[in-house]
Amino acid sequence: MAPVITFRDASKTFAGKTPVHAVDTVDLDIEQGSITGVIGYSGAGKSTLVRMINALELPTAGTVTVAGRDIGGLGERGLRELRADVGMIFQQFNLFSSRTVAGNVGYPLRIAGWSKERRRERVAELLKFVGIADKARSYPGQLSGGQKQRVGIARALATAPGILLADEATSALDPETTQDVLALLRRINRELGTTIVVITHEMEVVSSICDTVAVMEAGKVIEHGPVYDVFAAPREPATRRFVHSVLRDRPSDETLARLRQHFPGRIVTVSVRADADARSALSDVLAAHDVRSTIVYGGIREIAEKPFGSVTYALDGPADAVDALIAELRARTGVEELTS
Amino acid sequence: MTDWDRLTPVLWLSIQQTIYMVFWTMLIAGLLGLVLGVALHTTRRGGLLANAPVFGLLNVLVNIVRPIPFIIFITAVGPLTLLVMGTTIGTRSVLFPMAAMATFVIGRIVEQNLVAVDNGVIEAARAMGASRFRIIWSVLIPEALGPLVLGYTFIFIAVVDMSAMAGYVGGGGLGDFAISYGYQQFNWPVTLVTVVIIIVIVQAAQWVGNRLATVVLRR
Repeated sequence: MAPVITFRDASKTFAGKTPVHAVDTVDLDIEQGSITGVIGYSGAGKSTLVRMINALELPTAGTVTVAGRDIGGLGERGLRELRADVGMIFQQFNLFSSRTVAGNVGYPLRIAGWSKERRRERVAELLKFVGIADKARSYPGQLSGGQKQRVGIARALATAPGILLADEATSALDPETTQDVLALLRRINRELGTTIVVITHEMEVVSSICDTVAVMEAGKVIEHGPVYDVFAAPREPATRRFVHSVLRDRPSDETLARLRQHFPGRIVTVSVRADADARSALSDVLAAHDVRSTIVYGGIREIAEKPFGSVTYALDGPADAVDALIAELRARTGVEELTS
Repeated sequence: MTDWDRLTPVLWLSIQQTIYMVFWTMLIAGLLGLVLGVALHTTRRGGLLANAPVFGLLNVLVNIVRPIPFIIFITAVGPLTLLVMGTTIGTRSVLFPMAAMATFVIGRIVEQNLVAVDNGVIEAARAMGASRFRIIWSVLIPEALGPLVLGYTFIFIAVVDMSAMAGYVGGGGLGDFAISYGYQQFNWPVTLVTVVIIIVIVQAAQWVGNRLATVVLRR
């Protein structure tokens, strides 16, 4: 598949006493029909990067091409056409409180010059698609968070854009509503073929809907690839740190100190990966040695529909047997000894 | 004894003059003040029409004019009034200083109410491809409508106050009536009646404003 969004040496520098390099020489291709997660700590430049896709921010150097258009050279008309092709949803929903639900969803259609009759049909169709057909006449103030985001999504999809940008779209929602909204985004991707770019710091979002992930740090995209590959084998220390902080599959220093009080022996964290044979082999290895192994910490979840996580064991037994066990585990998967 | 037979027609004329001054001032300054307030809000740094020189100029202008006591302002802009209205005497002529001062006051109030509009909503409209001017009239102003209605109600009362002072320098109206027939003739009942009438006008305006704001804010 061809990339629909292309960043080439794209930079965005905000002038000032100390210029801020929000986005720094980024090269990135986003494939048509993919769901890409942009992750990284606050201030890494995620929002600025994503806002270049609909030209809310223009690059100060390099180029950004969206569906064949160079966003740097668009006039008023070109900008309007680009933005009709790139929908956007927001953490705080950003609905017009002075308009009804139908008025909100119809607004981008007014801009695009649709007739009243066609607008009404399209709005009804969209509200049905996102599951709030009965709320057309309500005002945003009367809706729950999940309903508001559905209105936001319907509004973003009004002009049938090929690309949808989501800026922390589920961060203000409770876990259950988050799942509903993520399911809706996945359905939009599958049924309408919409390319989706999500900014997020939530593992839930990346693991349940993204197929590609781009990791940002200090304005640069430091890692980019299929979600499972990036998470299972992070190349950059910053990615590794981020992965661990969002997965929380390793004991923190405080937890480790508490574990030490009960388990004087060696403590190791064993990675659990997709390969099913390797996982059953782990059980065999643990059983074969004269070592008592106690599960003390861990978590396994699915990323891109494949198991991913780690389990921490406290090992108790003769020193040479423990050494042999660890060596054998190391031969099969990632093992990290926790020392403190 | 107060000669009400003689005073009632004068009082009636004064009420009409006050309503005339307040109505036209609110209409003219209401529109110009809205434009000025929107200009102040949007030309500020980071605004939709961010323009530092324009903002600086408007801001200084408002800051210079607004603190001038209105009674002094009327006399100070006398030459301008003569130029624009052709005269400095009469109810019609004071419309110029009244509308000018009210424009600056309303501009500031409008600007302050627009600040309450969430920037995210403006960004959403931009992301949908709305032009800057479209955003101003179809998002910015509607989103701030509730507070704006209350702001205009507040201004209405200030304009009634202004009209009383305008009367003192030749504009007629209830202020003039209360001073000429009440204060200067030591006729306290006349002053009292005038005060009651002004209170009724102001209360009516406040009631209408509150009702309107409730309707707008309910959604």
